[in-house]
Amino acid sequence: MKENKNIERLFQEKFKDFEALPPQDSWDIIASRLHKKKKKRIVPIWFQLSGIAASILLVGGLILNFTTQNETEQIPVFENTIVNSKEINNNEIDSKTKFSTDESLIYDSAEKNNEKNSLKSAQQNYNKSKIYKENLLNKQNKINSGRKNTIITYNKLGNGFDANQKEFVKGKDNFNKKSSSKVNSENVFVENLEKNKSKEKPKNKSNNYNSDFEKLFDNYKEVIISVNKETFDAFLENKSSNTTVIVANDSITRQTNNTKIFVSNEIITQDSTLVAEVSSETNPLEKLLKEKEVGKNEDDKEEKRSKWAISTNASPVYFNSLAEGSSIDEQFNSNRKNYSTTLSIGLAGSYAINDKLSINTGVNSINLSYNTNDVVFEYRMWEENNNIPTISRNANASNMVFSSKKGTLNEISGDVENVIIDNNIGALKQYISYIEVPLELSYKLIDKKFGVEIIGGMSTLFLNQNNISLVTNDLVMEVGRANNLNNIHFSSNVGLGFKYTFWKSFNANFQPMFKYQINTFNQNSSNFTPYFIGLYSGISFSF
Amino acid sequence: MIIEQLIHECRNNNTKAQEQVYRLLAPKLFSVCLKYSRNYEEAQDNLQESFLIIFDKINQFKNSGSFEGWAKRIVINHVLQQYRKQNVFEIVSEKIPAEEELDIDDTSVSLEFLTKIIQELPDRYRLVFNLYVLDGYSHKEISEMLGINIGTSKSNLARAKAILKTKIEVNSSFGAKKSK
Repeated sequence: MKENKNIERLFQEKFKDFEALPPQDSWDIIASRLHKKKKKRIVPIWFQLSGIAASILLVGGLILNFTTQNETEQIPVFENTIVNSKEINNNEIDSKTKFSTDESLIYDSAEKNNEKNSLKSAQQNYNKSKIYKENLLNKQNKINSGRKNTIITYNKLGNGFDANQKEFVKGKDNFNKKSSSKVNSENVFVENLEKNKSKEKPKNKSNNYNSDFEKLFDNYKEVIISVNKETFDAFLENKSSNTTVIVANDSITRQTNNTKIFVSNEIITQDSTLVAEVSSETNPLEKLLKEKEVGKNEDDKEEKRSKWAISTNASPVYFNSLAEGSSIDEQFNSNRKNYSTTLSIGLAGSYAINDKLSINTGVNSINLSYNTNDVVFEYRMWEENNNIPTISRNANASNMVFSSKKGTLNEISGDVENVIIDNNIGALKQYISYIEVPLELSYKLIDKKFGVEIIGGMSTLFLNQNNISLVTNDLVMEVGRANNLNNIHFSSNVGLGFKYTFWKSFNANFQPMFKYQINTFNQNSSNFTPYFIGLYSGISFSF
Repeated sequence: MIIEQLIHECRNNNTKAQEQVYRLLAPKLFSVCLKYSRNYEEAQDNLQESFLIIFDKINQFKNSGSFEGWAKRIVINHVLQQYRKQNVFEIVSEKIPAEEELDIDDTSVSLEFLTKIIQELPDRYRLVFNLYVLDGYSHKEISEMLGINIGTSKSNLARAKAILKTKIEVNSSFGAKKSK
C-alpha cells in the first residue's frame, strides 16, 4: 500500500512508541561504575573515622598522663615521713608501733603474708588511698587555707627528700610492674595500709572536729613552733632528721593526748599528728621558701584549672536577610526568596584567660544558599552584556536573559506570551561557601556541671565557592558566578553557650549564635543584609 | 507512587532501587540514545553515561514533573554535550531546500532501517532532525541548545530530511525491485 506521506510524519509515527532493549551487560557496567563512585566516597569516611579514633586515643593518653602526674605529685606528701621512718631503724618502727598497736599488727601480718598476698588487695588499698588523699586535701582546705600551701611547699621542700621520693616512685613503679622485690613491695603495702589507716578516719570524723583542730593548733601553736625549727632544720640536715621528726611527733602526740579530745581513739590522734606534722612545717617553709612557693603555687593552680579546650561542632545554618533586597539585582528586590538550611562544620579551640573569660577561635566551613523565585529566563541569539551585570556568565549562559516576572508581565500583554513566560519561569539559586575563622570572647555565667556563657565576637569569612544556577522544575543549570562578593568579609557574632560536663573533661556544648554579615558585597547589593543563625552543637575536651 | 518511592531509595544510593529504575527507563532511554548516536556502540556508551548522571543528579529532580521526561532530557543534554566537546557544530550553508512529499510504501520501511539512516546522518543534521521531528523542540529551542541560529537549524533539518528521503526511496525502490 502506497501513500503520499510527509517524511516527518513517517518518522514520528514509526518512532512513536519506539523502545529498544539495551544490551544485557549495560546494567552491570553501570552498576560497577556506580559502585566505584560509592567506594570513592567511602574512603574519606574511613579517614574521618580513623581521625576520630586517633583523637580519642590522643585524648585518652592525655588524661592518663595527667592523672598519673597528679598522683606522683601528691603521694610524696604523705609518704615521705613514712618512708623515712622505715629507712632509719628499728627505733622508728618501734615508735610507730607505739602510735597504734592496730597498725603494727597489720604491719606484721602484712609482712608475713606479703609474698602470698595478691597484689590486687594492695592495688585496692592504693586506689582507696587515692580517694582519701583527695578528701584529705579538701578537708585541709577547709581547716586552714594556709595548709593547702603546706602540701605543695612540703612537696617542694624537696632537696633532702628527693632521694626518698625517687625511691618511692621507683617502688611504685615496681609495684605496678608486679616486681617481686620484697622490700619495695613491703614498703608500698605498708604505706598503703598506713595511708588507709590514717585517712579513713579523718574522712568520717575529723570534719566534725574541724573546730577542735583549730583549737588544738591554737593551743599548741607555741609548742609546734618550737618544734618547727627543730623539724625543719632536721629536714634539711637529712641525716639526723628522721629521728628528730619522730621525736617531734612523739611530743605532739603526747600533747594531743593531753587534750583528751582523741584519747579514746588512738588512730585519730595519729591523724592529728600527721596533720600537725604537716602544719608544723607550714610556717617556716612559708617564710623561707616564699618566692618559690608563690611561683609554684600558681603553676599548680593553673594545672588544676584546665585552660585549654578543643571542640568539634556541627550546626544547621539558617540563612536570611534582614531587609528586603536581592544580592543579584535590584529588580529582584521584591521577589519571593527561599533560604535553604545548610550545614556548618568545624573545629574550635579555646583558652581560658581567667575563671570567667575565655577566648575562642577555630575554623568552620559554611555553605549558604538561597533561591530568588519568579525569575523569567529567555535565550537570545546574541550575547547579553547588560542583563544582570553581577553575574559573570558561563559560556553556556551567555545568551540568557533573566528578569523578574513582575516586570516582564507589565511589558508584555497577550495570552500567548504569558503562556510562554510561565514555561520559562524558574529560580536563581545563589550558592556561596565560606571558610569561617571566628574570634570570640565568652563569659561564664554559670560554671558547674551545667554551664551557661554569653559569647560575642567576630568572624572573618573567606570566600570559597560561589555560583549561581538557574533552577526550574526539571532543570538545574549553572549560569555563572556572582562578581559582587568580597573574597574576605566579616560578621559580628553574638550568642549563648550551654555546656554539660558528662565525663571528666568532656563537655557537650550547644551554642545558638546569631551572625550578622558585614561587608559581604563589594557593590551596591540593594539593601541585601544577610545574616545567619547557627545552632552549634558538639563535644569539647578541656585540658 | 512506586516510581517516587524508587527515586527516594535511589537518593539513598540503594543499588536495588537503582537497578529497578534502570529496568524501567532503559528501553525508552536507549531508544533515544540510538536515535541521537552515530551507532549502536556509541548509543550504549551514551546510555551508561546518562544513567550515571541520572543517579548522580537524582537529588536535583523535583517530584513535580515526569521523571521519564527529566531523564530523557538528561540523555539529550549529555549527547549534545558530547558533540559540543567534539566541536561538530561547524557552519554550513543555510540555504533551505524545498520541502518535498515522499512517495513511499509505509509498511516497506522497518524501524531498524529508519534508525540506521538516522544514525548515518551527519552529526548536526541528526541532532536537529531528532530534536525537531521526534522530540518536538522548536527551532528556537534547538538553536539555543546547539548554539546555532534558527536559520541554521531550519536548513539542517531540511537537509536531513532530504538525505533521509533519498535513502528511503532508494531502499524502497530496491525493495520493490527485489519484490518484483
